[in-house]
This record gives sequence, C-alpha cells and structure tokens, in this order.
Amino acid sequence: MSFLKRKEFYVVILIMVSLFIYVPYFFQVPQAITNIETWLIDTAVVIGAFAVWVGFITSTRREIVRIQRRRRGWFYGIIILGLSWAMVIVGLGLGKTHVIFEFLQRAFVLPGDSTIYAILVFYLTSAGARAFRVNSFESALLTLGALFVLLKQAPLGELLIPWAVPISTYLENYVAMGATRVFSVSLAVGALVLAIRLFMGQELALVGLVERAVRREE
Amino acid sequence: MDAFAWGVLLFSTLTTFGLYMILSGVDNPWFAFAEHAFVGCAIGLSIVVSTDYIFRTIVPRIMTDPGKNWPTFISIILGLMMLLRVSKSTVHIARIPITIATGAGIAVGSRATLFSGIINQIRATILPILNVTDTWALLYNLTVILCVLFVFTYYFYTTEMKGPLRTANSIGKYILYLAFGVLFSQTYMGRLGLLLGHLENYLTPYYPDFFLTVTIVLIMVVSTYLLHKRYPELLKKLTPE
Amino acid sequence: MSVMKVIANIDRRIYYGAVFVLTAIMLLFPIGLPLKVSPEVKAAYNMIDSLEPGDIVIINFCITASGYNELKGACNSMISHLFSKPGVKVIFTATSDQAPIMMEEIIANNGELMTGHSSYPYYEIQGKQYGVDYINMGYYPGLFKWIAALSADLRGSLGNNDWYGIDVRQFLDSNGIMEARDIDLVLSFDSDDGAGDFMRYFYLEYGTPVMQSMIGVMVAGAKVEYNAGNYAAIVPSIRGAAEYQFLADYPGFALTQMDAFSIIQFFLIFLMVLGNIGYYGYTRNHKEAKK
Repeated sequence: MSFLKRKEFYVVILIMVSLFIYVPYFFQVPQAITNIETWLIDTAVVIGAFAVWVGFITSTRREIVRIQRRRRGWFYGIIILGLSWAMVIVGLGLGKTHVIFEFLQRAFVLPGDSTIYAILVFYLTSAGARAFRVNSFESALLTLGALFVLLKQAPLGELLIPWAVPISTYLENYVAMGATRVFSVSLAVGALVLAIRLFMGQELALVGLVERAVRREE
Repeated sequence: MDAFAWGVLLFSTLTTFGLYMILSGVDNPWFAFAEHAFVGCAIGLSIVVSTDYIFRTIVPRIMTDPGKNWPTFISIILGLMMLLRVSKSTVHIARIPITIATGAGIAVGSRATLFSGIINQIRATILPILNVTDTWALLYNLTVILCVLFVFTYYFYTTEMKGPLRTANSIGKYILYLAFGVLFSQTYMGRLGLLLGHLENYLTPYYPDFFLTVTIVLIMVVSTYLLHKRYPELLKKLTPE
Repeated sequence: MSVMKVIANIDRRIYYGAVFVLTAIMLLFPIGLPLKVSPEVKAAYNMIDSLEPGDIVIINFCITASGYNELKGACNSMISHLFSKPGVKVIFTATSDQAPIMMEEIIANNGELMTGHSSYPYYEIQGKQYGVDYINMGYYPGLFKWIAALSADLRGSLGNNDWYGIDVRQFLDSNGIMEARDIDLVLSFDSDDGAGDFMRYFYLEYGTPVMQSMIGVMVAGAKVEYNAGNYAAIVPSIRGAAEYQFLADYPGFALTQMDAFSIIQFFLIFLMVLGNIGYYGYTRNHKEAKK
C-alpha cells in the first residue's frame, strides 16, 4: 500500500479524471465514455456530501477538547455541541420537516446568517465617512464614481438630481462593466491555469499531498 | 400567535441583536452566545441536508435498479472513504476520493469557463466603431473597448512600463478607481437591502415584534454597559478567547 | 473644542446608531416615492411574460438567509408573475442548504393550502396545483458539480422523489421532462453563482435562456455576463426587485423599503461630505502641524 503515499499515483488519477471530463465536452465520443464522465461528476457530488461529516467530526473533537481543558468561554462549546448534535439527531431521526428542526433553523440559522452580512452596512457607512477623502485625483475619481451611483440607485436621488442618472448609468453599464470584464477574464484564465497545473501534478497541496511529506517518505 | 411562533420570534430576536452587539465595540456574552448558537445550528443543518440528499437521491437510485446503477455503489464507497480523513493513520486512504473530487470539480469548472469567461467576453468586447451612425452607440462601444484595453494594461507585471504603455497603465488605474467607486455603491445597495429586509421582520408589526425588539435591545445594551463599567472581570470570564 | 475637531473625531458608534434609528423610522413611516424602471428589469419582465403553455421552467434558489432578505421582493413578485402564466410547469430546486425553508415561505406567501391538505408541500398558487403544475425538489449539494450532472443526466440527478419524499416521476413523464434540453427557462435567485453555472451547462450547451436575480455584490459581474449575451435578463438586487414589483403591480417588501433605502443612501452621501469637511478642517492641518 506504499503506492498510496506516492505523488505519481495521485497525478495519474488526476489525469484520468480530467481526460474523462474534458474529452466528451469537446469531442464526439462513445456512450461508454460519456457514462464515465457522468459517473465522475455524480461521484464528486456524493464525495462532497460525505465531506461535511469530516468537518462535523473535527469540530466536535475540537469543542470536546476545549470543554475538557476548561479554556476561557468553554461553556460556549456546550452550546455549539448541543445545538449541532440536536440538529443532526432531530433532522436525520425525526425528519427535516419536524417542528424542532424547523424551529432551530428559524431561530438561529436564518437570523444569524442574515445579521452577519447586514452588519456590513454599518461598517460600510462608517467607511464612507473615513475612507472617501478627496485628497488626490485617484480618490476624487473613487468618490465621484460612488456618489453618482448612490444618487441613481436611490429613488429620491433620481427625483432631486435627474442629471446624475444618465452619468451613473454610463459609469455602471460601460466603464465599470469594462473593468469587471477584465476581472472575469482574469479569473477564467486563472481557473484554466490552475486546472493545467493540477493536470501536471504541480498543485498537489489541493489534494493534501504536499512536496514536504513526499520527501520525508523518500 | 402560538408557542412555536413566540419561540421563533424570541430566539431569532436574541440571535439577531446579540450579533449586532459586536457594533458596541465591547466583547460581550450576548454576541458570544448568538455566534456559537448560529455556528452550531449551521453545522447541523449542512450535515442533515447533505445526508438527506444521499438517502433521497443516491440510495433509491441503487435500490431501483442495482444491475444498471452498480457504479453509484462505488461512489458511496468513495464517499465513505472520505470519512477516514479524521484519523491520521488512515488519512492517506482519504486522499483518493479527495483527488477524484478535486480533479472532477476543477475540470468541470474550467471546461465551460473557457467559453463563458474568455471567448464570449472577448467576442462581446469586439464592438463596431467604424460606420456607426448613432453617436451614443459609438461612444458606448468605444468606452467598453478602451476600458477593457486600458485595464488589461494595468495588469501587465512582466513588462517595463514606458512610453504609451505607461500612459495606458495610468489610464487603466484611473478607470479602476472609478469602477471601484461604482462597485462600492452596488455593494452598499445590496447590503442595505439586506439590512432593510432583515430589520423589517423585527420592527413590524408594532406588537409583538417592535415591542420585543426594543425590550431585548435595552436589556442587552444596559447589561453590557454595566458589565463593562462595573464588573470587567466577570465580563472577561463570560466571553471566549 | 473646535467644531472641525468634533466632526473629524465622531465616534463610529454614533454612525451605527444613526443608521439604525433612520432605518427604523423610515420602515415604520414610509413616504411612497416614485420609481423609474431600468431596461434590464423590463427585459426580465417581458421574458417571463412571453412564456407559453407547456413551457418548463426551473426556479433555482442559490441563496442563503443573507441574500433572502435582499431578494425576497424579487422572489415573491417574479414567482407570482410566472405562476400567473397559464400552462407553464415549474420545478423548484435549491443549491444552497438554507434555501428549502425560504422556498417554502415564498410558496406559502403566494399560495393557499390545497383542499384536503394541511401542510407543505400541498400549496395551490394561482390555480396551479402541487404535483400537477409544479414540484419542489429541494436541496442538492455540490453547486456547479450538481448542475453539470443535471445537464448531463437530468432525470438521474433530479431523482424520483421530491424534497418531501413524494414520487414525482408521473409529473416528469407526463410533461415530457426527460433531459436537460427539455427545459425552456432557468430562473435563479443567487447569493452564490447558481445562474452562472446554469449558464455554463444549460445555455452554452442547449441554448436554454437563463435569468438571474442577484445580490448587490454580484451586480457588476452579472452586468458583464448580460452584456456578453450569456444571460437573457437580470434583476439586480433590491432596486431591481422594487422595479419588478412596480412593473408587475405587486405591492411588496422591496417597494415599501425604497424610502428607507433612499434616506440611508443620502445619509451615506452626507457622511462622505462630512468626513471631507472634518479632514480638511482639522485632520490634515493637525497632521501638518505635527510634522
């Protein structure tokens, strides 16, 4: 089983998986190859569904250690453990439509997730007062861009300052869109480069096999 | 309102305004409680819905026609091998499903990106600028082409910036500043919309939502203030590291 | 203490408190300001309005709770508009684990319990019955991987049972939903890039039009894709949701929030001006004096 610790084994798997997924997309292939492609994609989804259990087991272990060592705030670990296991037991045992499961979702998950992002409004507002200082040409451009779009977005702005609307539309739909297009293309090129590097066995850290560990085995 | 609705209202208000207490600038037990409760329930939710997918979609697929769907059985085995990651002695076995999932994920993600992210975007940038009779259309087309070109030159890191390239680089930088201002406003719009939709749940109707919100916020603010000013040692004990 | 010094050193908690108080006042006492409709939202409205009997639509929820409060205006009005089109069949899916409960809320907001039933999923929306005109397939993990699998093998990836374990094969067979090319429109509500993945695996492969309603952070990227012709239509964030509600004559959350939205945005502009006054009136001179 020493081949399981060799980098070459995983590179072969990566190449085979990549070929079975790329080739049917670009060429006409026999149905058997397409079936393997579909199976590989389905398998990736199934593996992802099991992977969340790894995170759950790891977090349970971490919280138990925190409680045992009585670190500051250890009792909050009981809250995390208790609620997460309660969700799992109720959800899997009694069903995801059970009233307790729905209660825990509505009482903690939904408001928590909403609030975490809603808090950003307050930080963005104080950033508006502190960061948008017009002390150079660049900062003036930054502030102007933000100002015009803020005026257009608000119905009151459209009403009070109607000439800001076409300028803002121009900035949003052409200037900012052009710049964002560059980001999109760069991201796409980066994704392709990552795929090629993975294909060539240069990014094995992504599969948990880094050069350092392999050298130790040799 | 029944007990379920009251319970949801009470605990959701506690969670929401407990998290908002971070804005006070003081570490406080309300925030710690809300944070840990949210994280615990969110983890549980992920586990339940992911496992439900296996039992609702994958297992019935095998059961209905085991002869035809035997490869799905191998998928389940690979998924179960993933769980071996939790132990150091078996982590090398878990690398096989990780490799398959990573390879498949990146291949699936990148193959279509070639068209949507590169070819279609370049095609959309090649716009007509000659024989265009409408002045506004010409302005818009020129704007898009020049913005894309200038911002691209800003991201050249391997060439020395001199002459026209340096000018294009500077113009690209200015376009980026304008674009970031626009992006800030769009982000602010989004987050503000979220805040408004979120707070509306706790402010309307006057009873019981608004009444409960005001009561809970007052209790949280006063208790945090008292702990911070009068009992700082107790406050430190009640907040995590 | 000079006025400029006070302005330059305002505690940020005062800003937080002011935002909260202004939001509360405007939500409790709305004014009712007029609204202009943008071309993108008009195109989205026309896209849904042009649906014909027999068309199959996938409505995908790729939103977490954070995106839901921003997009629920769009969700309610667009889904209500879509369900008003006769003969259109709908498949609800979710690619976010928090989305199923929000889907249920939207369905309950727009429908009534069917006769003889007392809970989900049996809601009738504008005469459309569950299991006959629409189904709720719930959450599927994997995001783009599942959407790619859906494109390659629609029936295998959807499965035979809906989110509640009810067999839906009859619905799928009777409406001729066999493979991905049978889908006529995809509408995705996104706080992650669900529509982008549907665009890559449905639009690019089969030409299926894809519409997106997205959170504010994703608006810039969505406009790039819309401009490139990858998306058929977009409804950007809460402003787009309010415009859609206005077009569809649907009195809802997004429209009523526009007043608060306007005031808070003007407050931000005020703070930007105030910050500059404080900077030029005190901070800059103070820094130069220190040097």
